[in-house]
Amino acid sequence: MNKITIDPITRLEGHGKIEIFLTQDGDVANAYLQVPELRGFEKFCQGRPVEEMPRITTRICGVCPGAHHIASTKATDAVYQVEPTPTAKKIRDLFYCAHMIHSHAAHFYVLAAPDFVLGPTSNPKERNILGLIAKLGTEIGLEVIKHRAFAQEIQAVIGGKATHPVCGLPGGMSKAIIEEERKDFEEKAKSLVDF
Amino acid sequence: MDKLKLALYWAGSCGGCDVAVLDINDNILKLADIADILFWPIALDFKYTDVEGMDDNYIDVCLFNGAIITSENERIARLLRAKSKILIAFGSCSCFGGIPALANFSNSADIMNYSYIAAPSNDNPTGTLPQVLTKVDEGILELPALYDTVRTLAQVVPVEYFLPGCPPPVSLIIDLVDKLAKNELPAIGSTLTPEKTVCDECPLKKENKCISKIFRPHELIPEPERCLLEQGIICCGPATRSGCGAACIKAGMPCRGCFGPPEGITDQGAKLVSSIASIYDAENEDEITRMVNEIVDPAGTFYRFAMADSILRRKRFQEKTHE
Repeated sequence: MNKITIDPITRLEGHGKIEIFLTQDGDVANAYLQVPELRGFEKFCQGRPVEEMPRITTRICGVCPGAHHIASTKATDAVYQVEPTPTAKKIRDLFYCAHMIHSHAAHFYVLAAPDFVLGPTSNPKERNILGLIAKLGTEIGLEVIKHRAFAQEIQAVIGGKATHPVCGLPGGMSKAIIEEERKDFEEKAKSLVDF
Repeated sequence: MDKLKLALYWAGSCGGCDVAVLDINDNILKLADIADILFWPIALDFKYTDVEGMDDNYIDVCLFNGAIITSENERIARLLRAKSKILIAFGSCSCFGGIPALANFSNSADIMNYSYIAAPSNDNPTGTLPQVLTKVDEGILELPALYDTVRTLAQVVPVEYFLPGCPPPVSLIIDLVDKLAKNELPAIGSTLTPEKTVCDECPLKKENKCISKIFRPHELIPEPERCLLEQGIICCGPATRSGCGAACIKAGMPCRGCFGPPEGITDQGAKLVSSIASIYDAENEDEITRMVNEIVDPAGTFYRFAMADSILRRKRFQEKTHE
């Protein structure tokens, strides 16, 4: 049976391979998506201190480390049966909002948009973020870059690093924010809403 | 000057190193000015067959992130090595094994069994595990093999440069792009970071005080301007290469060693044991034992990012019993 192999699949986080089997007439008989990777977080997190989970599980995904960080941090709250302070909750929410903006901007503009703006039949060599900027112009490209950077910067100030943050602790956060930072976040957030 | 031919790849990794390259922001346009990117799975649509079709040494520089965990990781490492003039181990996984090398406390069978069968979130009554070869009605499907031991890139192929960090900081990536543009890379074998330790970059004050009790990070609200280690919180700064600007410590958390050992140190964990032992304030052997026992998961902490690159390399396999 004839076979089309797409290896690796691209413009997403993670490894994948697609095998498409064809009939003699060239119709698709069946298609398989395979994930040729396993690191074993489920296993190697065992034996590690629970308060280290927010700093280990971030490495599940470098595009969405904020999600794994906050999820693990909430798990440590549950383990110790502690309720984070209202301030800590607000800082976590602020961090997570910034994370969502970065992650969605990265997904939409870098990973997905080339399919929509340049189209599935475009030259595969140009069907990417650089091709997108070439088509839409550097000015728009720089706006996208600037605003994704705003979201990354907010996360980095709160979390130490945007990829991979370290601020979550059972019952709270390791770092407060100061008034200057709050004002800077507010300006960036307003610009992000307009964007 | 001809444009540089550049490739970026992720082996056993999380994608954070690739996001770090995007985080150079408008410098990415500068990178596109000086280089044609020929392969970059997170962002571009080139396939393995495109790389296989290149002549040897066709790629000028390959930034390779991720550890070597599967037979596919090894195959692509060998492929990109053959096709690249300069191969750079990019990020802590490719330099030292990184977080994935915590799997070296286990083995492939136990990882497979737990991840697909034993973990409470699984629903796998038939105990199905991924196979290298699987026969389906239409033909054969093939997956890479999962190795028992996670390796660094340099344990598999020769590597010209190392840029550690989890992920490498934007400033060091921009510095690398500049050096590539000006063709000013240092001596082969160099690590493209400062050579000192995180302590040398850390703003906290050291008072050369000894410690008599170890605290876990959530057990103590540290005094804000004092060295965390001297307050009893295990911090890997003394045995970790500089370059991050003490980012985690500035966020109120101790260093976990992602930049690997500083210049001249071969085993990061051993160096940490010696640093920590040197500030123990203990009157007798019982006190030393108590303080050693207060360190939870010492191996997983001291070798958090550099297990694959350590002298230990991995947890010893259980000896088979012969009847």
